[in-house]
Amino acid sequence: MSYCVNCGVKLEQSLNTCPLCHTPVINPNEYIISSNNTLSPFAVTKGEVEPMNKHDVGMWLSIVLGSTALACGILNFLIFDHNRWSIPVIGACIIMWLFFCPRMFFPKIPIYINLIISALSVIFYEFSITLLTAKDRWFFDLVLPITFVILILTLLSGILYRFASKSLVATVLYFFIDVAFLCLAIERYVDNFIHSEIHLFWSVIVFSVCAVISIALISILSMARLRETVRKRFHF
Amino acid sequence: MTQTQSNLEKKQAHTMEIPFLHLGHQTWYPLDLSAIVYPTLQRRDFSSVYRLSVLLKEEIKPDILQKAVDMTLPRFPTYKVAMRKGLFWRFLEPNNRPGPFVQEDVRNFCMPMSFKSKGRWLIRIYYHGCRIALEAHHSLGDGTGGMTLLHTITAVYLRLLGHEIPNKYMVLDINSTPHPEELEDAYLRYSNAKHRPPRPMEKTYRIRGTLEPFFTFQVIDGIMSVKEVIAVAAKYKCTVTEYLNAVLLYALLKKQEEDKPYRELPVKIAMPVNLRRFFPSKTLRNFITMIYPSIDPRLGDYTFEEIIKQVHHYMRYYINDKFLRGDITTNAATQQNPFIRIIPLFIKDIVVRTFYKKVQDLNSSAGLTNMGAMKVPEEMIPHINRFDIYMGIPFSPRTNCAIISFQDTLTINFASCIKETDVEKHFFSKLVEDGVHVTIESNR
Repeated sequence: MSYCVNCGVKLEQSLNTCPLCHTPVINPNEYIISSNNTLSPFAVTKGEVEPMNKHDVGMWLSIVLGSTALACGILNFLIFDHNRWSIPVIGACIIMWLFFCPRMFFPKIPIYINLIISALSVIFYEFSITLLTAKDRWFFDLVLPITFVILILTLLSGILYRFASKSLVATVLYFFIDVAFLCLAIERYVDNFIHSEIHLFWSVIVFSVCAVISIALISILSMARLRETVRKRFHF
Repeated sequence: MTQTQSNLEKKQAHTMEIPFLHLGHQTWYPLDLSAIVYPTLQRRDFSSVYRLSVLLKEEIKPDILQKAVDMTLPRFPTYKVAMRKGLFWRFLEPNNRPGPFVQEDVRNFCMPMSFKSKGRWLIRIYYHGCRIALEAHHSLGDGTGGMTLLHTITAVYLRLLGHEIPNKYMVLDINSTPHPEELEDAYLRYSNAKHRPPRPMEKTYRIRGTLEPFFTFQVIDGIMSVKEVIAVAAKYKCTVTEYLNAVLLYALLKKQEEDKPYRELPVKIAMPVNLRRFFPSKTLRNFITMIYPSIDPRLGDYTFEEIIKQVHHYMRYYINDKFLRGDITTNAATQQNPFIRIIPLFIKDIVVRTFYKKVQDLNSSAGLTNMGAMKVPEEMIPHINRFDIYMGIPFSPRTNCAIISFQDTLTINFASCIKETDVEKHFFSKLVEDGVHVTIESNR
């Protein structure tokens, strides 16, 4: 067994560095022993958390939503048949099912696929409302493109959050980037829908403010010392 | 007979009669006073799970261990349960699903336990080399209850190997029926002080560190001689617990000093006290309360001797049946308040979680528990090397320290979910400085 030259503690044979101060263990006398695959007192394999069984909740939710949709459909078809009021109710049930249930039945479904399914269900719901209105231009010129922009921004933020950085500063940065682009898109499509021409105004102001904040956040993220100072000064 | 005494006796009689409740042929257990909090803190990456382990002298035979678990568990009905939700409170329901099955140990132990997992078990039993480890959700019971289960499983395992082990100390007779007191919520019996002292609520120093990725559990074990530590504690004219508490406070103070904070905060340790020492009860469920030894560096620089003096007097002042009874009365009063009782569970969850996050969790800089010296039947001693105890993954980034001793081996187990090991380094360096020989084991 070796001693840590820094802390003075005796180290268990399988340790290559002192776990307290990270000083490497260099003991020429024990090299031969440790190279003989010394067993660690701890297990090596990593355990996995047992997944939650949500089938029961999924079944319960499916029954509640399914029966609501069915009952409304039947009532609309047989009794209260003056208009197609059941369409938004059935649509809402389908949306809620698509939002909550796929992950309960298929826990391994990738989050991105789930997000796309949810967005498609929202689009389907919005389209179902057009069946109750006289025109569908609002859907194709306004609602559909904005929903797509929200979906793309959410997917991009999700990818950045997962693969780039999960820190609080980074999350706030993603939020401001999303807000900036979403405002631009909203004003662009609203202008196009109402005036049939594009004059960006308020969204550019929002965009510039978000850009300034984003640049400040990127600076904090890229400079470790600045980040540390901010953390130290603003910790609560 | 005074009215208080008569009330106390009535309450005792009531508790003894209904330690668990019957609904037809089904038995269920309301959560005890401490256990109510733990499920509300449940997150995807956090469960209040602690781990107890025993290191035997021979390699573990998994099939025999499984047999020992199957034979032992029915004797511990409050551990053979699943967690269920009611409208107002959660409760424990007997679990007759297959299992729990012994499994090869993992590197990242104390993993979260989902209440809705396949088997719904709230205990896990692992083996690795010569080690038997028991992980239990804190809702089922405290360290003493868990240790009783582990001792009994170990004794049954050794019996199955052909050794003669009597039922003594924490080894219970697996053929006997559980004593009603073992299943009781002992808090209810003793929460009868006339005054409810306020809860300590003070913002304390928090260790800032880099969180390990999900789900990593880092441990550093320090193994040393009990005699050496007793000798050092005697030199400082204090007990071993007081000495180790003081060393941890000293390490935390040093860490805060190194952090160079904008303004310093008091350093406080959350330390569970086993109430069975003061209020007789055989309960295997939770029966602990917290005390908070602390040092306030804003008042000046403390030498190590001064820290010891402070801890020594704090413990003498607070650890007695009067103060502890007051403390459990305060805790019980909240739970027994009729207005709180009728609030639906999901609202209670939100309130309790927020209170814990904003107040309770900020109330201490680290956790320290001392299980004390383990007593086992003499026939078991030759088969056991040592015991280990881990307080489990902390709710927020910090480090938890757990102490246990067996014969002349004292083990100090640090569990943490942050990369930095400064507190552990200062802690063990101080022990080495005081002349204690420390051997370090770690999964880092």
